Amino acid sequence: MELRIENLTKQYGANIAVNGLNVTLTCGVYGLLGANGAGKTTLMRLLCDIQSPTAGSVSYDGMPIREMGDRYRTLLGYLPQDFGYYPDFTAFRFLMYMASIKGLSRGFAKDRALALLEEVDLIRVKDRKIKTFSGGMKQRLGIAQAMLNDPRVLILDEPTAGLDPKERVRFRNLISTFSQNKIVLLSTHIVSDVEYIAGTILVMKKGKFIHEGRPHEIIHSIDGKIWECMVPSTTVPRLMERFNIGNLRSEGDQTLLRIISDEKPLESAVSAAPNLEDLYLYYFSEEAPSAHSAE
Amino acid sequence: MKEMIRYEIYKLLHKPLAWAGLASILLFVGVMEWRLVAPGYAAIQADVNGRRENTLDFAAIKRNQEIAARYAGPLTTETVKEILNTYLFSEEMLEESGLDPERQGHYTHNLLYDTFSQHGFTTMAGEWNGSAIEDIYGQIAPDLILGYSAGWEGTLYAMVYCFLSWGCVLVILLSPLFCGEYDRHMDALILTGCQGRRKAPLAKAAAAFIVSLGGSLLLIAVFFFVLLASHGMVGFESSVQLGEMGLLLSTPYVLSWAQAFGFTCLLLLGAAAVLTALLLVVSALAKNSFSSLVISFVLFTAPMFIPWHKLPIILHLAGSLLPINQMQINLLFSFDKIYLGNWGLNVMWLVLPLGLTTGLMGILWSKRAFARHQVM
Repeated sequence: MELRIENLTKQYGANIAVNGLNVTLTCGVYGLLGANGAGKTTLMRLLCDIQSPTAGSVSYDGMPIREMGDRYRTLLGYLPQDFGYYPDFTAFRFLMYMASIKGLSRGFAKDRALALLEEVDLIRVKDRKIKTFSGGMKQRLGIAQAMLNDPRVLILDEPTAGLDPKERVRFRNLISTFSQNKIVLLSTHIVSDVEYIAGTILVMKKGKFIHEGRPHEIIHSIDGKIWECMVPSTTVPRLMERFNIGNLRSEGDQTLLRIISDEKPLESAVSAAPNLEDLYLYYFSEEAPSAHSAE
Repeated sequence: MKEMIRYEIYKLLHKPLAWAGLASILLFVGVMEWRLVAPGYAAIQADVNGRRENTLDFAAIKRNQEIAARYAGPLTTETVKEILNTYLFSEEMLEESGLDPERQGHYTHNLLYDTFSQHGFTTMAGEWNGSAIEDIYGQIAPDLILGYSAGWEGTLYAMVYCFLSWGCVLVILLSPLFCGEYDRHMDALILTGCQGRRKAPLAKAAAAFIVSLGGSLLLIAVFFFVLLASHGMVGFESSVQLGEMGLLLSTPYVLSWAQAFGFTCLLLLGAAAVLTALLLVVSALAKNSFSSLVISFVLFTAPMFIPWHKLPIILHLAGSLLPINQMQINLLFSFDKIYLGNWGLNVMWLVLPLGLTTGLMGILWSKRAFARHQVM
């Protein structure tokens, strides 16, 4: 099972949102990392065939998804970034409606809907109207609807937005269990979610992939660019203007700074092991003095 | 599929605006029925031994039916003359009531007298002015049948007003059918479902037609029931040209009220079908609910303001077949039959192929537009 993206491009007027992407996705969890406007949502819409590419193609097991049509959609589950719902529907009714859209039989849909509501911890509120739900509850409902038809390809755009840490852990475990023999692509700004569950990370910037690989592989690409040093707290504002600061921790009148820089920023700085958040900041802090592109 | 249609009907009707629209139309129907049918405008002023005697409401309906029964049958000039003379007020009655003798033609007498007075058979003073039935009704005059018409005419008038309002309610209900999904960001979820591009839009279209035609049939049933309850079937065979309000006075061929009611139902259902088809397409193509609502309202109401009768006959006919003009019925009733040799086709029957064709096209185009919609 593979989803092949070949020279995929999407252009809106003068703006190229997705620029000649080439990648093959096989079974496993893929994390799509990128800043706002990188093209993640557009890529996901192209993979779901709800936008037409300007150029290039997406194929599932060698067959273009546009030609597969409904057959591809039978295999697909999608959670969009702006999750839509009907405010006056109850959670259960909404899942039953989505099940009918996905072509599931009534009996199977009922069992599946109840099981998923249990899975996302909404079973106790299944007969409450969605308009009464919190943001996190709505998001969990969105995840549940994406998994209704047990899709072979699951595409989740910002699935953990609005979830508290406990819910995010639950979500990670759900995806990990689900992703056996499936293709799961999820985009997020919460780096830790991607770091823990994604087998492969795709870093996207200005419509292109700038990195692709296992987390530890791409993290090593910024070896020697992460520094830590202890500085007087009074100097922190000035240093923040000069350097790309990944983290700062106050310890009395001293502050431990984590600096992202190609060169040693301060005499007292020592090299530190990078993590995925450092990589994100290294490539996507456009306003920092040491912002970089992969080229 | 049945499940999907049920959900779509639920989504259509389970909105505050939908409830407000339906409540408004029910209220309007009630007002129109009371105003025009039960008891409507029924009133009689009679000269009883020189004194004025008024009869109103349901008693007036009964009395008018009795008077009409006395003169029911083929219309003749003699009949008209007799009616006008019999029910003319005496000078004694006019003086006693303070009514102006010179303006008697304007005062309410009874249904038949008022009909012929309205149609131009009397002087200002209310006396027969010497007009023959051919002078007023043309060549078809000898074939006209006189009878009780108030219930039928009032019902058709009420149906016209109510269906014009029902058309507006349909615009409000159905214009967000597809584009409402764009507003709510449900388009992405629906279009990624395996039934999202085939059965889902068909279910929406089915729900739209069920609501529009079902609601129209319900309204027609209400009107018919109220007519039966308040006036009965009396006068069903009498000619439409002899209605007091002149709703169908310009119909150029002999037609009974029962036939006219049947054709009116056909026109109103056809109008609902064509309007629904139009709303399906606009809704699928519009970017959002607001633009769909505005465009739909303009497309529905604008033809009302075009002087179609001044245009060439083909355009006149085409314009008369637009939903809002179909709902006004008298435009199409004023067309003569289309003759092929001796066989004449009533233009109202064109509504059938029109409704079916536009309905089918509306379903196909809206389905296509929705399936090709690019999620933004």
